[in-house]
Amino acid sequence: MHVRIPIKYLLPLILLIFSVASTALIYLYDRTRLTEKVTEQMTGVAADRLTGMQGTLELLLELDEHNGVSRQLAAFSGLPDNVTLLITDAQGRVIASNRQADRSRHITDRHPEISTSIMTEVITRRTIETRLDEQGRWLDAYASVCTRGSGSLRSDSCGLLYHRLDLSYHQRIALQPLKTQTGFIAIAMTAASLLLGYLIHLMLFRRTAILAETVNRYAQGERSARSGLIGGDEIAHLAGNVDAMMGRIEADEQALRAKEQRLKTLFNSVRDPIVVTTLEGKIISFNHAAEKLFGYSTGEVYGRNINILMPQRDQQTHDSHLLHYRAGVRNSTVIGKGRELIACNAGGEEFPVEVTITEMRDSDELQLIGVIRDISERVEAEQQMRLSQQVFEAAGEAIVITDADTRIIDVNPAYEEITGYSREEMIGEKPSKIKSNRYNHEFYEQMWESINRTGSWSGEIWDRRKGGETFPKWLNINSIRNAHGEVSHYVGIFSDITAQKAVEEQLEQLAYYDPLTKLPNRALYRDRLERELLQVQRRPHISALLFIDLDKFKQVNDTLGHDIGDELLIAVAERLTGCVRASDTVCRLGGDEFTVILSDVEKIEGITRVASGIIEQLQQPFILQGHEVEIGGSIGIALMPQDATDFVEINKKADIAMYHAKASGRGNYQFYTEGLNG
Amino acid sequence: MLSIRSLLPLPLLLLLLAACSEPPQEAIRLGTNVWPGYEPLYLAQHLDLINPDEVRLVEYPSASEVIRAFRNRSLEAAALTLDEALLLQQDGIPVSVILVMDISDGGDVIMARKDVANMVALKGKRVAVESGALGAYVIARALELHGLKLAEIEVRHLDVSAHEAAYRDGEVDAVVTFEPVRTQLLNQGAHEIFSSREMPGEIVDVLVVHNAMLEQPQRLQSLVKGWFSALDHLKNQPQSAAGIIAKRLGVTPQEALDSYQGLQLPSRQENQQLLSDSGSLHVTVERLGATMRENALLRGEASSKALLFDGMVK
Repeated sequence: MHVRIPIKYLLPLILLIFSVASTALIYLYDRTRLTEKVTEQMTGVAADRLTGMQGTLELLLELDEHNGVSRQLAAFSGLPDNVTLLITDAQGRVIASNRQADRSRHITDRHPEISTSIMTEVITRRTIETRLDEQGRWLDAYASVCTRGSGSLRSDSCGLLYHRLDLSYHQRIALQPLKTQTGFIAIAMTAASLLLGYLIHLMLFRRTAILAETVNRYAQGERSARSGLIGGDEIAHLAGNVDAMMGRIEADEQALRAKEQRLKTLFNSVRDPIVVTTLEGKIISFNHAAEKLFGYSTGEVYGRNINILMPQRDQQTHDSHLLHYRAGVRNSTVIGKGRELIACNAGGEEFPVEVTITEMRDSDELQLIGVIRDISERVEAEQQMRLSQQVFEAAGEAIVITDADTRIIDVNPAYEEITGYSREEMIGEKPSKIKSNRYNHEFYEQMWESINRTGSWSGEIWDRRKGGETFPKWLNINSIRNAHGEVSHYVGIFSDITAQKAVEEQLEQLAYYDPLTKLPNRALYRDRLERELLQVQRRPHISALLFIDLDKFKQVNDTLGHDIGDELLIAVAERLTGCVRASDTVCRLGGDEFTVILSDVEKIEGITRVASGIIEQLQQPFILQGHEVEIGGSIGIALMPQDATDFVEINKKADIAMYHAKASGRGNYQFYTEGLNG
Repeated sequence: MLSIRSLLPLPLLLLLLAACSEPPQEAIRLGTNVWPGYEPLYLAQHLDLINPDEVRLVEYPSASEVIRAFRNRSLEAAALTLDEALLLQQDGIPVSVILVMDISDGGDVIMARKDVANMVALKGKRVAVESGALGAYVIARALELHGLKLAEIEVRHLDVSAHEAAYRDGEVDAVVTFEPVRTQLLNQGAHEIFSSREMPGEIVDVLVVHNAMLEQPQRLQSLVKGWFSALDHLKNQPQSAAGIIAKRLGVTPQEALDSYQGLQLPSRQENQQLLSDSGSLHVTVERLGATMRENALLRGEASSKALLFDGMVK
């Protein structure tokens, strides 16, 4: 049975109905029982009354005391329940009655309610009988009243003693307390129902209403809603559980949102552009990196076909790919593998990308995730690499690349050509494998110091070819540093400068040497003398400048011709060079002007011995083209640093000394002294 | 789911609880007149051998009034003579004899003045008879035994309670009576001209109950048990018993003891024999009925089988 009435009203109502019903039932039961009891009791009372009167009446009748009989009846007539009380003689005539009209009348005329059969029975059996009418209201009692005849021991004649009681009188009295009591119970039950209703409202419904309202608010999204009901009863327990549940759901939702936010942040903070589409190709997610790469905002692309990110020429192809894919053609080259494609941004610019597509099942719907990588830079770098490789291969200069430990990792064909070593021979070796041993340890230290400090070094260096021949090269070394600033590679680039070197030597010869005698010319003389002037001051020993003047050279030149004169000069140069040490310098300043720089002489005797030697050599005759030629020479000597420390001064003093030597007779040498200046 | 149907049994349960409070049974009302043969009942009551909540003894002035009260159902049990029990049976009142209390062996008498020498001398004399009770039987049998007719004497209908006064006042010449009136009249100079010794075994005092009482035998059984205990007491401590009995009878203790000379008090075993289906009391009843019919004291046949019930003395 489904109850549509709110429980709030139903429970008190049930209690009320129950109370009223049980009170009514109890009342009906008690009334019936009381009525029965009253009937039973009054039946006994009626019999007792007749018994009580019977003996006396019999005696009075025997004594013929009819007045006594009337009095006896009158004594009982006044009973409140009495309806009829009468006595008859054996013939049924009324002797006495509480209704005076009955007297001397036959009982059947006056009282048809009296049962003649019962009357006969009580008279013959001498018993007392009682009868209750069908309505339970009238109680009739019959008794015999017998008088003894004198003829025999037991010749009795019996009349009837009849009594009718109104039971309703006794029932009213008996039921009165029951009615009062039932009334009180009914009032108390009603009050209890109302009280129960109020208590239920107070304890149950007001609180369940709060709980229901809280749940309702919660259901409408107010996640902070809590009933806050406290107490130890079932409602409070339920409310506590509901509150805890709502708190738990709220926490779970927050965690979920946080997780979503994290995923969104992750999605958007990934550097690689990510595009999520439906199986139809409709874009449903587009991360920040994708926005940046393609120049579209998420709003602009949402719901549009992914092919807007492709050049127009590829769009149809892609559409048909998708169609196949949806039709169940799972091309294994699509899912989970990177593919290089051409993409197209909002501005219509095309650029290469690598796309990796994966399937994702989101709430039973299959979606495609495309992770895109802009490979423009990579493609460019690859091109650059190819270019570099070509340059590397085709360069005329040798290129050698080493790792940080200076182990060769590559050399180019020019290197192979210059050094004679193949690439295979050199890889893993150090560049020093081809060094010439011309340079000492310090040289290389300085070189590496420079590389480490400035990142590069360049200079001329001699190395050795595979054939053993040394060669000069102009080498440029650069260190390559990685992102952390550490040296990762060294690159050496060089060219063979053998030919260039030869040209340079020729030019130097022209500038600093006398073409006739191959002796240093005036320029080189000046250079060396100035150097000597600087160096001699730092040394303990002395140096000397010798000016040599040839006698009779002009005569030879004039008489024997310039060719002989030139040959004479060459022969003089050879004899002079033979008179000095290798570390000394013989110069021809022009014409017949020769000088000698004696460097680092311990004693002045060393100088005079050289000077004497030169004079002796010059006095020996020269054989020139069959001609015996005799000349001689005078020498002026100035000492360094005693006589001078600068170029002009020393030249002047040597010249003064030479002049004095010539003046004092041919074939002499003269040291400069202060006295010569006069 | 709240179901109203499930609440229905509750009012019924309440009604059941209410119905359980049955009123306590009322005590059996047992009516007696004064007669030594009935005195052990009062001795038992005095000695607390019967429970007053179970059995209430009601005293009546005469056997006639006991019979009236029993007929009118003012009593559930009555101490009566066997001939009186037959009267009730004749009137269609369902009764049973459950105990033989005593058998008169001289206790029922006809007492006469000294000038009435014997039964024959009774002719023309005024004789007090309780005609509604045993007295009618005794006078009828006495006249029969001595060859007299009822018409030859002048019967005065007087209940036993009026006998002594009537004799003393000279209203009657002889009285058909029994102990203790017998002793009282002896003391006043009367002499015994007839006693139940002349018709041994015919006058039997019994305990009669309405048949409805047999449905609740416990109280009757305990009453019977109390009766036999009182008999034991009377037998074992006669002096103590006589003291108690004498007060009620209005005689001296010795006279009380003497009055038991005219009585037999059957024991439980004797009762079982008397009341059993083959017991001698059946013969007594048949004979008594026949005698009563002959003397116009009984209209119908006596049925000993319907009357005697031995269930309470077993």
